[in-house]
This record gives sequence, C-alpha cells and structure tokens, in this order.
Amino acid sequence: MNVLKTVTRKSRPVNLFFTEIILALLFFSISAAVILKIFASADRLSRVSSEKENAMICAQSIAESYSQCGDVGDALKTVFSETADFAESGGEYTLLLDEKCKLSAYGGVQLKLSEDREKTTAGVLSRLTLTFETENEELYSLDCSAYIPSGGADDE
Amino acid sequence: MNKKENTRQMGMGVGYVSVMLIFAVICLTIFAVLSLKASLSNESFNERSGDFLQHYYAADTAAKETLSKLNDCAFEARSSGLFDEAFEEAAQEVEGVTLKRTPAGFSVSYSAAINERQTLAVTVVFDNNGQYTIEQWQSQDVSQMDDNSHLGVWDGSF
Repeated sequence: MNVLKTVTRKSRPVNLFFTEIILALLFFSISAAVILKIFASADRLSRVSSEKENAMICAQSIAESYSQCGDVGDALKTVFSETADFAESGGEYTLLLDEKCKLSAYGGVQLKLSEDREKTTAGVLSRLTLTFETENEELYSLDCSAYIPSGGADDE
Repeated sequence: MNKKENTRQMGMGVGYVSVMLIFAVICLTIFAVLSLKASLSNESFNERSGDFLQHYYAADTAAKETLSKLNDCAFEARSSGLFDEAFEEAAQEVEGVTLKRTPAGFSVSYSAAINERQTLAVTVVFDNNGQYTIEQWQSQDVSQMDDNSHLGVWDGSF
C-alpha cells in the first residue's frame, strides 16, 4: 500500500506537466492557424496592392507619353522599349507584363489599350483607355486623351 | 534531500510552459495584426491615389476637349479673314471660358474640376494668326481660385 502511494505521488507532477504541454500545444496550434491565416491575407493584400501600384505608375507613364505624341505605338515604345514591336489588332493593343509591369512573355498581368480618334476642324482629339487585368479581374483602368493640332482636318 | 534537489534541477515546473506560450501567442498576434494593418493602410492609400489619377485624367480630357473647341473656333475665325471679331464671338459660346483681349491676341482661361478640392486651371493665349500657346495647365486648390478666401489666422487685433 505504501509503495503504491509513493508511486502515485511521484508521477503526479510529471502527468500534470505532460497535460499542460498537450493543452499548450493544442492552444498553440489553434492560435497558429488563425495567426498564419492573418499573415497570409496580409501578404496577399500586399501583393495585390504592389501590383496595383506598379500598374498605376505604368498607366501614368503611358498616359503622359500618349498626351505628348498622340500615338499609342510611340507611347508604348517610350515607356517599355524602343526596339519592341507592338502589334495592333482592330485598334486595340494587348501586352503581357509581369508583376513589376515589365514586358514579359509569361507575365501574369495583361494590359489592354483601346484608342478612339476623333477628327476635329483643326486637329485630332484622341482618347485612350488602359485596362490592366490579372486572372481575368480588372486591376486598374485609366482613361486619358491627347490633342494634336494641325492646320485643319484637310491636312490629315 | 538529494532526491528533492535532483527533482528541482531536472526540469521546469508546471505553468512555465503556459506563460511562455501565452507570451509567444500574444507577440505573434500583435505582429500579424500590425502586418495586416500596414497592408490595409497601403491598399487604402493606393485606392485613393488611383482614384485621384482617374479624376485628374478625366479633368485633363475635359480641358483638352475645350482646347479643341477653341482651336476650331480660331481656325474658322482665321479662315473668315476677320480673326479678332470672329474668334471673340465664337469663343464666348464655348462653355466655362473667360476671354481677355491682350496686345498679342486673346488670353483664354477656363478650368476643369478634378475633385471637390482641386481644379485644373488652363490659360491659353491665341495670337492674331490663330496659333495658340499654353501658358498654364496645372492643378490648383479651389481656395486658390477664389481671391477672397484666406486662412483663418489671427490678425493681431482683439
């Protein structure tokens, strides 16, 4: 009987310690799951935000360049590359860009540009719509314009 | 006695693990919330910045449309032979435009609203040959446009 009592007394702190460890691990795993989820959503938000910021800078560069020259091809060459060849189909341009808005064949961001030209009596007023898309979702869109005066509509 | 000392030295007592774990979880939670807060704040800033950009270029397009109309007026006035009279008459019909005669020709001012607080102010000078020069094309605070507005600063009198 005495021997049994001694064994029970000695094993109690060890059992308590292990119970505490198990409970602590359980608590930690639940907390870690929630905390990791928060970190992951913060990271995702940050990535999207960074992509949008780059798209905005790129859009502004194209808009400024376009408002100076009034030609989409020239504006794209000024912003991206002088040597690149930008193919147009039906008045629309489509470019593939990476997250930093650099030209890339495997880019995740798609830039669509559509131009609308209106001849006036003394010049050409053109409007350009830039749309950045990622995974078929619109990331950012900007409408800009250019006015290029000429001697008149007959000059064109 | 020796056995008791050995037990004390062997490991941590009950409770230490919980205290350390709670501290670690609190630290991780604080870092996670701060990280999320920073991302949200960055996202909100980008949103506002993107909206401003869209509004600015909308105002810029409106200003260019007005410039296009004015240039058309100048072109037609030049074609008519009597530039001054014809341009003055035609330009006054363009909405939101203020016309002023100068020795060199006409100074035309107009503005396009960017948002409630800012406006794109434009001044274009048309010479007697109907050619234009842009003198001002810049965003301004709405309060700057109103000469009577001033900051509510104490003027020193009681």
